[in-house]
Amino acid sequence: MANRVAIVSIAQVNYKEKLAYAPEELAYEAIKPVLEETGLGFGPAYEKGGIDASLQCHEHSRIMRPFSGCQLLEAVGANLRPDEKVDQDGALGVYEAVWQIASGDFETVLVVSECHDSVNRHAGNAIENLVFDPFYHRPLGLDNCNTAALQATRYMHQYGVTREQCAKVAAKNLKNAKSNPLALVSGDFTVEDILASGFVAYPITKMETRPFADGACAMLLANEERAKKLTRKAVWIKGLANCCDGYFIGDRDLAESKALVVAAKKAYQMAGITDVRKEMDLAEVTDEFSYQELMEYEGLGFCQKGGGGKLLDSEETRLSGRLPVNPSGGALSGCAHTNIGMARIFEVVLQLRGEAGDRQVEGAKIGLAHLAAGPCGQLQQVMILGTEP
Amino acid sequence: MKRKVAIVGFGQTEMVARSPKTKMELANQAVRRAMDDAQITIKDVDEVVIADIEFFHGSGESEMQLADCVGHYMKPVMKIETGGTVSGSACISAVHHIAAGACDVSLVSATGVFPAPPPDVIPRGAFLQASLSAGMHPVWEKWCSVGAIGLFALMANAYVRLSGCTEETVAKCRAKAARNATRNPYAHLRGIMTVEDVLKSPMLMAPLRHLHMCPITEGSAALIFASEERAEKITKNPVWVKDVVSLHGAQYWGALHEMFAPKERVALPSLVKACDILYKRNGITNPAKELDVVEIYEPCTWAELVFMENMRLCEPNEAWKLADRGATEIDGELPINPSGGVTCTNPGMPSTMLRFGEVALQIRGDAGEHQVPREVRLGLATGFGGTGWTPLMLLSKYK
Repeated sequence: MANRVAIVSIAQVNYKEKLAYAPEELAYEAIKPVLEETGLGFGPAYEKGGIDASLQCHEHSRIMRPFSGCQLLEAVGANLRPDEKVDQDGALGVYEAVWQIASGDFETVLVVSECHDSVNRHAGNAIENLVFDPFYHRPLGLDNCNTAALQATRYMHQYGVTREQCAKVAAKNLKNAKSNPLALVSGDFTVEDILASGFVAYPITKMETRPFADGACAMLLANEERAKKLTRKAVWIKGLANCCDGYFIGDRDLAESKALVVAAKKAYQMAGITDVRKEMDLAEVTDEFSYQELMEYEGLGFCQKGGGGKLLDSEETRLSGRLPVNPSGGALSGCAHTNIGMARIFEVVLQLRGEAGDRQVEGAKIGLAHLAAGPCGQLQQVMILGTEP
Repeated sequence: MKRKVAIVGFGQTEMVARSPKTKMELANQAVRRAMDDAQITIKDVDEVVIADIEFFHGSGESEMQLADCVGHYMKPVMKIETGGTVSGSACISAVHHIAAGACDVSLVSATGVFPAPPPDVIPRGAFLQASLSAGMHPVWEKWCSVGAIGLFALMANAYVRLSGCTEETVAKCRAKAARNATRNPYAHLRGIMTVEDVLKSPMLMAPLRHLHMCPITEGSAALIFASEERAEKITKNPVWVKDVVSLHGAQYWGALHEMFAPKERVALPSLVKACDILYKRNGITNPAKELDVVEIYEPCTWAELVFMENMRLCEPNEAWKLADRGATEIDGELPINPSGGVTCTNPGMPSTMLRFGEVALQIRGDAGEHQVPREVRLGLATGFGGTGWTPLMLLSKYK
């Protein structure tokens, strides 16, 4: 990228239920450490030197409040200051902040993502149902989970991927999560344990889905000049792209993710990556459902089309493998809805700083953070991060 | 900004109370009109920014739903959701993307549709005011807030007390907006309105009358932005984005005491500050002289007067005198809202974008019957929404 942007400070609260917190309180739990680490404050609008602008991310449809941009206003220091709200995952907030800084308008931007799954735990699929077409799809009772089940079935049928291979993804990620203090679920589970955990929607079992969580994540991004002054462990954005697929799931071949291929190609080009299999040190991908990780190996070019299951079986993507995927334990170990993508970026930053503790990938210099959002991963985003600009 | 950005296309649907079209159809129509205006196809568009407040429509993740009809199929998409400012925020997002080099052509789409219970169950106006109040502070404000009407009645009361503004002047100002709207083929309320009509309209909450307040409108708008190189290839008349400023305010209405309980002058703090910043950055010392056209997001007629003062277009407490002598008419010394403004058309989500788009049309000289009869070189458009927020866009004929 011509105008370099770095992530200079990050913080995230754990995923435990926090019904006693108001949204702004929970967000501030993540914001406070960033303010303390950088020593920056919220100065007058459009005066450089402090935090220039803020970006809130939370999904409005999940909280059912109009002009939800006011929800975290005071916690993100936005009184009479530049502030925007991205109504999507925090990862898209980071994407937006990168361009805000690269445009030259701001030097530093604070991105905050907050989500209370606990407040809509019993209405989650009713809310997700509103995403679908009101005439044909809503009456079928479609939600994120049962459309994912349709996609999993189609994908497994097309490429001969087995239920055991999908379950193995969950086993691998939950094992990685053992050393992640944020994780909600972790441990040594066998493929049999995962498969026996009860169906949510065939072929997806309970342990193959993301446990609902309450969480908040904050990141401070800065331009090159400020980043170098603010920290010695800046993590640089090398490439980023997102891409949206069509709306009607019947129009798409659910066995593959065309949008991911487009996004990945663009992000690799920006980052100057020619052979991702050789050059990438680690990847954090969206595993809201276990089969997604296998499909994403293919979309991201870690293996050929249909080779996701085999790549997993080769053990290359486990923590000690050549290309560790989801060393944090991924969303399968727990994550709040609108933090899924941002938590992936968070882990890659930790890994590149060498602060990931027992799950540290040795010598990690370049990492990939991926987000899939919407029904059957309609929206795909790829971000490449590195220790060097 | 690292690169120059221009508006190359603008489209809107006919604005009506209840559209027979779905949200997707409306969005598609506005996008097609914007592309026709720019004489480009969706292949030339690099990315889409969606502005939406889904609470009013009862859908979820509308950026997914709109992929096929707005046109971000296999393209990057960003969805911004703030308040009434939302399409302004989305336009600013597009400007940032282009200035940063993320893309060359960005399309911004905003659509307002307001489904509600049947009128015999609860009138749509009351239903919408109640849903607006749902955004207030759950403990302190939600139970006593009365949506936009109560808040602007407080403001209008303070304005009458401090400025001595008469009801006749406000009615005159409203009639001016109506006259402009009759010339705008897309406007919602296009009937001729006399001062007497306004003075006789029912009192909602003193001194705010029914005709002072904006209507509930359904419709869609789309704006296309392009980088310098592309803009000059696409059109002979690019409208250059000179500057953008966006400020949010405190979370609760109670914090806006300068607006609701002022001592000397009524002020929307974010607008005062945003204008100060914008004028300073662009060397504007006498905005009333230097700006050829101004589009103000006035949720009610009283707000147009207050916001004029906040924008330093006149001295505090003097705006009503300016309006009274006809200075803000389309052929006056300072034309304000030649489109007819928000009191004639308020589809919510696209409302701020309609202000931006109108100034672009005026600068191009393409506003037809509502064209300001003078050379328009520099124009300023404002947005309003949420708990007193302001996005501004300064547009110019020249780079």
